Amino acid sequence: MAAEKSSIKIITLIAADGSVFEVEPNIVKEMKTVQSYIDELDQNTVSIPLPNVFGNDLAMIIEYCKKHASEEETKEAKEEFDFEFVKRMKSDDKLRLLQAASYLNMESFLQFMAKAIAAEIENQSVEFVRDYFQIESDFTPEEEAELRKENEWAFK
Amino acid sequence: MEKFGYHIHNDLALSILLKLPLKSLKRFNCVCKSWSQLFENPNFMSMYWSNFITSNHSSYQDVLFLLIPKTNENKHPGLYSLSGERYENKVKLDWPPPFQEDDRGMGMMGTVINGIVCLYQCRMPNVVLWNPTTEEFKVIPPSPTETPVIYEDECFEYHGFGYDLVRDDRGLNFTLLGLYLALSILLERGKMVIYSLEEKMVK
Repeated sequence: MAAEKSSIKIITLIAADGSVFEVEPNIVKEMKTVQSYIDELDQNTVSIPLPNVFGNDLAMIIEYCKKHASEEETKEAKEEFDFEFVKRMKSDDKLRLLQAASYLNMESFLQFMAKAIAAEIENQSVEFVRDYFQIESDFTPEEEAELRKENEWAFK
Repeated sequence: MEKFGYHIHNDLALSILLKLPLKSLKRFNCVCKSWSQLFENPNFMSMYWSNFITSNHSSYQDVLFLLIPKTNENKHPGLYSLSGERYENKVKLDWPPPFQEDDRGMGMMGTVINGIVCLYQCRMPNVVLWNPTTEEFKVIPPSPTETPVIYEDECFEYHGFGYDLVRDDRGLNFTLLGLYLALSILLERGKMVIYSLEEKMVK
């Protein structure tokens, strides 16, 4: 079984918009959703449709996985990459990638994105956070005033 | 601010919220009811605390406390918080109410644990756990087995304040922050009292 699996040379991922990515098996190791496909199929070439992930996002995820799967890269180089990777993203990129990470079942990438989003919203105002996640307040003005008073120190 | 159409699921929001510093978490209590309820949920808070303890969370670790004792020579006695890259920001803190009138012989025991410091007064049976950020405090009650009576020749010595990770882990009761306070009261008879507190200092 193990010998058969290692005979798979290339995995083809098809994004929601139809764009196609050919990657080596070690790149998709983190993607549990993809991995479960591969384990079920007993073939030399595998083509996997990912209808919930757009091409642009998949390209970024693959870039991230390539960097982190590389044994030649130092820990510092990977950290530097992570920093730049997040820096060039907009807020909605981060949220989309978080959802893609969840769909692909990539635990460590999901935690990485969650941390990036937490860093963006920490110390921001309540209004900023509501806007960010498109949340409507369901408190009455009195309830909200009460809560703000209770947690006064957190607003300083 | 730009708007975008991504309303994310609660379980994903949860993975983000777990990574926030405490101050932001408390502030976001009033974002909506479901978040507020989530922060009341013991399971969420236990996950939050274990995350908080294991990750290198900077919000408290980059703050030092400096205690300048009250003596004749010291012009500015008191407790200061030092923060910033070179600890250049120095802020004098007001003592919590139990010590505001009488701050002679103030001491701080051990280290800062989850933002909580343990203050005591030399030779007095007064010990207070205090969170300078939230301004919450808790007066440690006298020994449950014996109320200490101060005689002139008696002396209280305090020995430590620590966090009992093992106990917390085993207790599986993460809503209560497992705190471990060892107080030794050296009476003539030589007596040691160990307090083990499980107090929810941060709501």
